[in-house]
Amino acid sequence: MSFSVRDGKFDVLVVAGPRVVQWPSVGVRALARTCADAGLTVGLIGGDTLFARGVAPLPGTGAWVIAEDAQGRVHRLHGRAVVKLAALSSRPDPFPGAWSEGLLPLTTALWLARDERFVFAPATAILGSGNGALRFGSRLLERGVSEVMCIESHTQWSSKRFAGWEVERRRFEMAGGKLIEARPLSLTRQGPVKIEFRLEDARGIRVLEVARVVSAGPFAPGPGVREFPPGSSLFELDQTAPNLPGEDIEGHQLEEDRALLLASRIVRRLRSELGDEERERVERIARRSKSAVRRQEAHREEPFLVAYQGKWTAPADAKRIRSFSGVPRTVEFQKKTASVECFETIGCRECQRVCPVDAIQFGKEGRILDEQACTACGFCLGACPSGATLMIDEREGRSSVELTLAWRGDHLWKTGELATLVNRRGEVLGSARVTGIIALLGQEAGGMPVPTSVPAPVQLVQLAVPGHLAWEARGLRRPRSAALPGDSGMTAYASGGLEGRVEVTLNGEKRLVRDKVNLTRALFETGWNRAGDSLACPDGSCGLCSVTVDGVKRLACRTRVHPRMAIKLEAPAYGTPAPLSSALCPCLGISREQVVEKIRQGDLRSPDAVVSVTGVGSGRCHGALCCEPLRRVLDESGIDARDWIDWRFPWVDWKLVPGERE
Amino acid sequence: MRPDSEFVLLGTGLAPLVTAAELLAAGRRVVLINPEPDFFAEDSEFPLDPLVAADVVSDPAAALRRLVRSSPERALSVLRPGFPGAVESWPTEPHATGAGGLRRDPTAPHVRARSRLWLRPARAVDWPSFEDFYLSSLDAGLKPQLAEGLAAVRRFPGASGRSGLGAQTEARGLLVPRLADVDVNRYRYGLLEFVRERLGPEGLLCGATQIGFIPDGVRFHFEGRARTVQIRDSALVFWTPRLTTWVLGQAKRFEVPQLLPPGIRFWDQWTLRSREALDPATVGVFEEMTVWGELEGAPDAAGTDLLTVLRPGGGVAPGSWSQGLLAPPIASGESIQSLSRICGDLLAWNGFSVRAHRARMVFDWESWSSQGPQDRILSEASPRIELLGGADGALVDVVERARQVAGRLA
Repeated sequence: MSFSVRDGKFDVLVVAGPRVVQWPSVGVRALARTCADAGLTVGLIGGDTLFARGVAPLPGTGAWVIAEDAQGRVHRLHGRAVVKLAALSSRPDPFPGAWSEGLLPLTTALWLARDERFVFAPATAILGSGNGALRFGSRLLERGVSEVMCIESHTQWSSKRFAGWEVERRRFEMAGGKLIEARPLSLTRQGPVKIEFRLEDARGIRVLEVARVVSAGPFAPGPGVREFPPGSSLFELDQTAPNLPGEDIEGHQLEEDRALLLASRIVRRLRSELGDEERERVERIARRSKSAVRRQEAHREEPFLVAYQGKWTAPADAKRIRSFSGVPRTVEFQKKTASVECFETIGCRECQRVCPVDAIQFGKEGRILDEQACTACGFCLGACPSGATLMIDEREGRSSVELTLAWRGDHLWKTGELATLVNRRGEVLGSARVTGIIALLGQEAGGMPVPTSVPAPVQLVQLAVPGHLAWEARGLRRPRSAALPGDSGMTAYASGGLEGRVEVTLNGEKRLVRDKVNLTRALFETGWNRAGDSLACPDGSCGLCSVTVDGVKRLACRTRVHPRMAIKLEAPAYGTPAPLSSALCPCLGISREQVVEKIRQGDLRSPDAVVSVTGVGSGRCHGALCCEPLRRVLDESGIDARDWIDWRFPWVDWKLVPGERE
Repeated sequence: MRPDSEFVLLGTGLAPLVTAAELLAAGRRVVLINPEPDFFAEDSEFPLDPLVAADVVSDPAAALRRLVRSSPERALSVLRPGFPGAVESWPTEPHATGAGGLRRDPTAPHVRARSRLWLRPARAVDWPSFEDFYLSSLDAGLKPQLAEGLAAVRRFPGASGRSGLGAQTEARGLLVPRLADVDVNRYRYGLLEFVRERLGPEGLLCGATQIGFIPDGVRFHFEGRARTVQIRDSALVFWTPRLTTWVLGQAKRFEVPQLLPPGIRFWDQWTLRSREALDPATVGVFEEMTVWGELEGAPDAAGTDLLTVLRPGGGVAPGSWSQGLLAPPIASGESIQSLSRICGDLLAWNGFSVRAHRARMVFDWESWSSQGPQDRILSEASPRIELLGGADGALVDVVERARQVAGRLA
């Protein structure tokens, strides 16, 4: 057996890092297009056909990128500039027990919370205090969980400048949630829904007994584009667009603008002999993208809490609205649905008249919506003369909700524009981006006729609205400034459809699990929330979720449930955590204290030296568990890790395939 | 900033540290300047002599000389004096706390005694050379052994305890027991901590830039400020590849004739993760590659799963320094094919995970001078500047040479 090795040469190589989804992402496409337009050769390494196996930086600038294609041939590609697309991390700070059973990642918890039978009561602790954590906590409290705590280990409240964070915090605290500044010490599972959770706060050590511990961090945003070392032309670009454009248009815009800015930087560095016209074009791209990035980052980071003061719907009114018969009850996780929020006892029945499927009826209490029948055609929006009807598409876990509002202004909206959101009283709430134009209704537009009393045409504008504004924002107008806050960066997940349950054997016991779902999810449903299952690596390369299925060793994340399968779970695949201290690298059992001691002993000043001396990241998880915690330890030790890119040969196995030696 | 010192040592690795420790012990005043932000960023010391592997066929006399010098006894005798703490020898049994009731320090650097196994295909044309080497090493008292088939293959790191080695069993091996290699990290950082405590933050300076000699002293920038140190005796420059550009600049300034950098040997150091625990007791040599199980401290029952493969990656001839660095022969297709031959053909792994790759380079002093590393005088005037070679390579040799320099000066 041998490798076929082929050499290649590119000006720019764009490499997919571990756990990157959506390849090529919007940023990669923009970067490749801009560089190629400037006459540079660009290679993309990622996706299903070409796998990056590692990067060997060269002295000076550039690097060798080792890649393997689908036929098993190994390519050694020289890039004058290399860009690594890095997935955003969502792992919390480690502590003893953090990798044991019982700790649920937020994505998993969101998914499990859909099932009412899954117990979070009487108490649940959430590690992290970002928007996602607070929103999940609020939801648990609404569901009847009596005690929910959001725990932050090293509190930097001033850095919690995510759009809407103050709002989420207030809602969480008003619902009865607690924010605790404490350091998790240990987690001991004492029963199926009983976990002993030790914390250390300013007053000392306290012990909580909780049903679940959910991890939901970190949230500190990074710089987005890094070069390490300066002048090396080795860049790292954060993937802020892991979802579809409709799900997170802010992330898409930001990644694209950052990529354009980076592309212009690369072009200027690699092509010194640019002509005047071409140079002007690159400069223009740089200027535009720079201002756009600045605007986007301000949009993501700047809080707009002042504008919210006193503008919320009163809880009693909100309850009345949500329980109104014209408002969809099961809108979450279902589909886009009309919401007829007309509480007037008047004889106007325009919405009922235009509805092609008779989904809107009139009863004693006013309008009644048959949300199952509603096809979200939007005709009722165009017909309503007072704009009391809208469409809402709210999916659990998404950072934003899609509202469709009627617009009768002179200037029509275009996709991608920023709009100012207003509440029912016309007060400014914040900003949202137009994600699409659903329709242009009206006689002049040749579409659905609207009542003659209503000025036409009517534009149905779809907006990506921060989730916490979904039931507050009911109007839009053009902003005075483009730099408006928004909400993004929270965890999203795709929900799977419910299917029939089948019988499987789990460690010798019969269990009913959903058919044809991922085995990882099936295990979660049966209560086996193993830490290794939570990594969600895209290709099973982490190897941490191994199980024995029908006598054959397999990876749970790559195996689908089928009837009568025999599953045997073994001891956790990762190493034993360091017993007395916080495990930074659980695979190798390296503690945080050991790393700090090595840094002190060697007076280490660079992240590379720390990695080299401690060996953190050399374990089975390929750095997936320890990279971000290590970054934080470096930060605490005074080592500047902001520009650190781990260029080690990472994350996947090389398979040996027959091939001719070249 | 201390205004003056008897010696200023300038270097990036262990050699200036050892020299500094010796000079301090002799009561001399020392300032140590390292242009790298981390003291061992260059990583110029190997745990074992990497040249033994290649020399067995090409230069058996030199290989034998190197093997004789690789005994654990010599390593301990070189490393123990002057080291601030224990230097342990490797226990023969896992979890052994010590022989004869003596407790071993688990955090101390260890001198390991591992067998060295040269493995060749049964029909390899160069096998007679190994047989000759077997005889000569027998005469030298190294107690070598010859092995064939599975008995040979199974002692190779990564192959022990594995079934299904199949056709790979048609191999022959030459085994030399008890050769030394060292815990490089622990030794280096232990000494660094000791020297830093003695010198203080003003005496051991990392990350110095714009270093240049002035009459009676040396001037450099440190933490954003220009500093000057007066030199009473001499300045010692420990020449490693990272300092070459600076050294050549100084040689030009002091008009030193015929100072060309030695050739450079590049090494690919691959770290692979094995799916099964490795037996760390043997260092294997397959083709031109040296292979060992990576382990720090004493071995434990769990063994290790990190396999290090050190492969010579070609060299840059003397004089072609600047061109050679632009496209160094590292991570080459041949290197990857060699990994494939080790993991696929020899160890019968169905896949392997590359955890790290490091391009390492050391001077090829033998291409410079047949007598190995030699010292040059850059300037006789005040300050006297000595350019010292041999500051890179096997850790034991580096320490020995640095100690010789210190002994001469103290």
